[in-house]
Amino acid sequence: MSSISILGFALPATAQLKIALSTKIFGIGLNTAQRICAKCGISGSTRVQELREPQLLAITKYLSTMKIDKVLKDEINGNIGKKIEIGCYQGLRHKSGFPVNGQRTKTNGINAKKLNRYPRRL
Amino acid sequence: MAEVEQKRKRVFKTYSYRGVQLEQLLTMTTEEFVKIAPARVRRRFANKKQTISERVFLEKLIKAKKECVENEKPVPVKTHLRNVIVVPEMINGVVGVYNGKVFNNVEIKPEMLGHYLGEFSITYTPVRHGRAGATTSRFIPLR
Repeated sequence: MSSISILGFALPATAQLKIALSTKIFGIGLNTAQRICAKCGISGSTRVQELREPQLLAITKYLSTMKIDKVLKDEINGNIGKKIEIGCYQGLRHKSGFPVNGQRTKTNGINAKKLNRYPRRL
Repeated sequence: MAEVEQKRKRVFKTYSYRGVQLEQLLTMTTEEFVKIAPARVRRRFANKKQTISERVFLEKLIKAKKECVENEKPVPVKTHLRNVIVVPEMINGVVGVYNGKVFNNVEIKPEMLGHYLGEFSITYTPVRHGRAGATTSRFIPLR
């Protein structure tokens, strides 16, 4: 399957634009993807391969102003790292892989076990 | 390596809390700090007046900071007040925060602004599974 590259993200050529953006780029969901399409004046259900050059440029320009992928991941990890560094309770919970906001741990807490480690795997 | 260290230092120096630089923070009064603080802190200071014990504790801490010898940490000020919010006047002080059993020494850094003192002194021993003889309730300090 061929793909078209925007800002280094490989968007599948046959997918709808809103779907391609929301599934391939970290930090963009369906809602944000639709907003991007609207701002750039493109229908979200356009196939990626049907996009014209100025449309691609418009999307690239809009995406480059947003906080996505690497920048966003770094920010999330930085925020957690700050809490661990100052040794506050939330930092300890992050470090030991438990729920942070006072949830029970006798049962449940599966998502916390998966996610709460440092550096966080995103 | 030297470059990395320099970078780290620079990052530390340019620490800012909600857009206010560190040098300005250090000279800030509590009232000024509350204005830039998040809603939780603002509500706390708006609704609850400072108690006598809180005032005494703050005075002791500031006094300890003044009297400390250069390049040495100030004398820890012990307190039971876990629900006190860290304000700029406390920065660089050392507080012994009670956890119900012992006083855990906490060095107040600028990053701790807006947190409660209790957040830095854990009240329970974290559970450790699968260790022989771990059934005794011997207290293990975290760090």
